[in-house]
Amino acid sequence: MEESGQQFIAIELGSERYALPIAHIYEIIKMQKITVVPNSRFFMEGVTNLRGKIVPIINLRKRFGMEEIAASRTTRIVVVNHEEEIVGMVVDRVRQVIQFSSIEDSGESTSGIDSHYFSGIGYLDDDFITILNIGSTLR
Amino acid sequence: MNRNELMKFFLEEADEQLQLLEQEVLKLEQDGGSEATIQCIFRAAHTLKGSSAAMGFETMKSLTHEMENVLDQIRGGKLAVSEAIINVLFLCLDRLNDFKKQIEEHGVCEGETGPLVEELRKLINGENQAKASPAKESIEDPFGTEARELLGEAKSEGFRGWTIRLRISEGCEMKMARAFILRNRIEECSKVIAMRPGLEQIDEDAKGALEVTYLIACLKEKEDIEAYLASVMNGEPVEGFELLDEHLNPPGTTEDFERNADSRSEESEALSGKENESPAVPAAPVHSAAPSVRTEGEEPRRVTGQSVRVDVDRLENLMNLVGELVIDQTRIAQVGGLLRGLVSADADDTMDEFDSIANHISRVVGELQESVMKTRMLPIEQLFNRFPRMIRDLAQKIGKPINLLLEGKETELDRTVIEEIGDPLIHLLRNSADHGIEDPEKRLASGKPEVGTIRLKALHQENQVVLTIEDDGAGIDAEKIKRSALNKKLITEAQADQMSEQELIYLIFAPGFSTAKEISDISGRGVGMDIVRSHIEKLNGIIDVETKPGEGTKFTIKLPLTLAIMRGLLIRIHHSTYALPISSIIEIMRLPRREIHTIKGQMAVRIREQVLPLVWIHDHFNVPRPAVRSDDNVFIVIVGAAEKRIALVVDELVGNQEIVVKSMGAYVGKVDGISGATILGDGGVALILDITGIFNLSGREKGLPPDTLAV
Repeated sequence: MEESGQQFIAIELGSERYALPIAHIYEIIKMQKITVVPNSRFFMEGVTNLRGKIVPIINLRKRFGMEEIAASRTTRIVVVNHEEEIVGMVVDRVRQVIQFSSIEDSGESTSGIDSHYFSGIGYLDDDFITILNIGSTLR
Repeated sequence: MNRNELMKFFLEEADEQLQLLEQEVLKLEQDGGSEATIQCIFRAAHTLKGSSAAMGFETMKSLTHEMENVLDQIRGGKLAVSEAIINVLFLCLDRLNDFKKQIEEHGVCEGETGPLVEELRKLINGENQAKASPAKESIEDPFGTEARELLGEAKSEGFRGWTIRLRISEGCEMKMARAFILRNRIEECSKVIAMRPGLEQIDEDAKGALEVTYLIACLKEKEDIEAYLASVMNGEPVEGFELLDEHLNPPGTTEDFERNADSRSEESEALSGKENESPAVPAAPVHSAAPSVRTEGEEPRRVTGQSVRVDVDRLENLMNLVGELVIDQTRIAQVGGLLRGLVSADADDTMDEFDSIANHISRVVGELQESVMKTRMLPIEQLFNRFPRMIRDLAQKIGKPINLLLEGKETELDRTVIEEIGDPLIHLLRNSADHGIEDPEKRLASGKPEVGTIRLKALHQENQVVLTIEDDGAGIDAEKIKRSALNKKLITEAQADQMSEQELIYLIFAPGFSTAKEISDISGRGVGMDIVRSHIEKLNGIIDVETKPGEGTKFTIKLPLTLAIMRGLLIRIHHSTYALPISSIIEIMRLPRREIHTIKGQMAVRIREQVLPLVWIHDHFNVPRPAVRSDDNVFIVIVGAAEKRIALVVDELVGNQEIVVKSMGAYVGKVDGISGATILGDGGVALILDITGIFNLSGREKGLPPDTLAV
């Protein structure tokens, strides 16, 4: 266990919560029109226009093999900057900025998702949230 | 009007006149000089003389004055146009361009015009009276007599005089302060007698690097001073310095230095393909003592002319901002519509006003968008105009008469592409002239016209720009390439045996390949074609070579319009909007479904006696085909790639508009049948269909190579 001053954003997919390191987050936008790209990866939602830039959008539910749901008022696109690539991720809801009291590097599977998408578990008081590994999530 | 504004006008005018002069002198050379051409040259020279005199640029004035004298003689029929005259005129133009650049950079122009003036006078007086008329315009001493006296005193005490010339880089924030700090640092090892330009003369706002010259007196040896300077300059925003003798001449064996400097600059010119070729004419050493020693390869930022150079990044940024406006503008309209339903009838007037403002905004934004898009495009003419002079000088140098034909000057290209493609084109043209075109004797012997022809052509084809460079020279000898590559150990004997003729020819693009026996300064350094290739790769383009021994060689460069704007036809397939480059559309029509036939498993339609393969892109994109309409008709767009044609079924035709091609980035990667994306007026994204890709898709599905689809 180690202390960490790093900040995270908590997101929700159905009843599951995940954390994304804030340093990798470029922007969080509301759901907007997405153009489908044929013959692309299965979890690829399409591309959208982010102020004149074409940004690919993936669907985290599809990525994690969860049931797809229609966009709602709370649906957000979390735009991340990963290795100079800007990619948006559709999530059900964005919760809050959190700072963990400690982070445990990768751990046993605590949810239905393969552990290889995690980079660790963040602990805060009695609570803990899985931290997503952006690199392997996008790949 | 202050001097700065005057200066701007002067430079703009000078730029125009010089360009005009160059064009017209070329014309003079070609047609021997019609009355109109000579008049035009004379007027341009006269204008230039007048304006440079008004601005007090004495050297420029005197040179144009002498040119005018010669032109006057030609105009009066006393002097016939000859190669010698043209050459001297070109040298004068080079010099004037040089002066203009100096003025742009430093606000002053200096330099020797003596030898040139002499040449000009020789022309008038005839060769026999070529007695050296002493160059009146000797180098102006930038430091003045006062400084010289001080130096004299120092020298009497055993000091030696030197000058240090250095360039403070453009990026430096406070050039004046930097120049002063450097002065103090230099003072630590020597006496600084004077600096030019003086501190008070330094223009902080001036564009480009600042050249400063210090006159110093020092006891140390040259090497020591240089070593000290190197340590001082280290870490300073200085682009380079040189230690010269007190008269601004390179110390030591002056000739050697000059020769080196010359060959060096020529080499770098050849490598980087900069303009201003110095034609090798047995004229006076006009290069020497030119104070415009610049760091090579660095073009000063030009601020003159009728155009302004703008950083592409800025345009890109501007474009993105406009994109944001477009989205917001449509939002305003939508939100306005919603509001109207919410507010009571009392607010109708206010809502009307809101609507009219929203309408106005959308109109202005629309125009803004259009203007910004247009700004990014330039006709290739700008680039092409550099070539006639280059080829002319080159042809003369290598003694082969060459006719350069330019076609498609008006073809518009994205400015980044124009900037990047210049060097490869120069290399290819030089190669064609040097290696392609044979010597006149050889040409005549093989029954070709004495004058070689190089044809440079630009055109839009589908969503690409195609540039072709074609010569009627000797062609490329695959055998010779093979031997040369073996000699240079670029390939092994075993590899060579396996290679087809075409593969052998493509070896010319291999790094380190050159067939020229001796290294000429035109081409043949073995780096040219490699550079061509890497530049084109950088632009994601492709290059093809077609060559026929004895008949000539044709290079075809195809560049994608990555950043370019093109006209696109918007169509709908299922629920998505796609764009098709208008340039690849042959025809749009409506056809009853029953006219779609199947021939050997391939769907096809017969249109005016021609059978075209038909493709439902829906199948490839995994979306349902459109429902059958009541009239049983389908929309068909016939598209073409090179000689191939294909009919696409689309659900709906939306309209056409200017589209900016954007890449979807590495994350999405290459998608079959899609070449990129574009942003629509409402802020949505439409994918651009890749015609070549669709040909491949449809061919693959039928298990046929794409070529068999050709009709």
